[in-house]
Amino acid sequence: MVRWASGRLPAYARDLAETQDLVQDSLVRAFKKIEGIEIRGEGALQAYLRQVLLNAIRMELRRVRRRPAPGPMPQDLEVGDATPLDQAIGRQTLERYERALETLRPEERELVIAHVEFGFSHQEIAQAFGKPTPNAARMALQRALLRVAEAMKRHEP
Amino acid sequence: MSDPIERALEAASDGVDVDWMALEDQARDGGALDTLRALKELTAIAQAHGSRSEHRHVPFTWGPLEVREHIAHGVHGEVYRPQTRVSIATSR
Repeated sequence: MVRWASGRLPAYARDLAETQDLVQDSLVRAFKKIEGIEIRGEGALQAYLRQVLLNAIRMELRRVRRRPAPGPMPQDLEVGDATPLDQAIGRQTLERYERALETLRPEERELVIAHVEFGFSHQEIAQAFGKPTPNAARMALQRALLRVAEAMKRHEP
Repeated sequence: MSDPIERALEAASDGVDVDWMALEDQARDGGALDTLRALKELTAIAQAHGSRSEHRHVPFTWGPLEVREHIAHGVHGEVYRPQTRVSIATSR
């Protein structure tokens, strides 16, 4: 989760809020509320925690933008919101991906997140999502990937 | 399997390399081409997450162990082979 979060924070925000603290605080808050939430398995739990963390990152970014860090401004400062993932993929593509994810059914979304963002193998997906075999997990994953790809097409600029 | 979208799905789900330009050349229409490009983007997003993996360069020492080889990685951590020939797992 720390690794996942670090890809979504621009350098200036990572300096202000230690990523590990952000993740830890978010997870503690999430687990305090978890009794009131229906979680259907490991994949659903991971997707829920990802969303909690994503919300926390967005709040942190808004906070940092409102109140810049005190101290002298470096002469070579390059101001930018780009995260490591923005730099690797492009912000527009990531935004289309996020919007496309929101159009999927919960299990499809959780499958895509587990594989694309957290690197679950087919075996791990089978275990997390209650699929009978790794190949069944692979087939379900491929259907979900096709659905998200089709949705990304619809969100093209 | 000859359908370019099926092959692109294999690349996205299995992590196998494909020649994306060749697949795009085989797209039967604009809709299929857009689907291929979206699958290519999904693969790139997955690779970007994977490339942020925190494998340590071997060899390194971990406590009393001399770690010689990275064996595998999974959701919860990395697995290395130390000189003692006992496999150990370290969390990220």
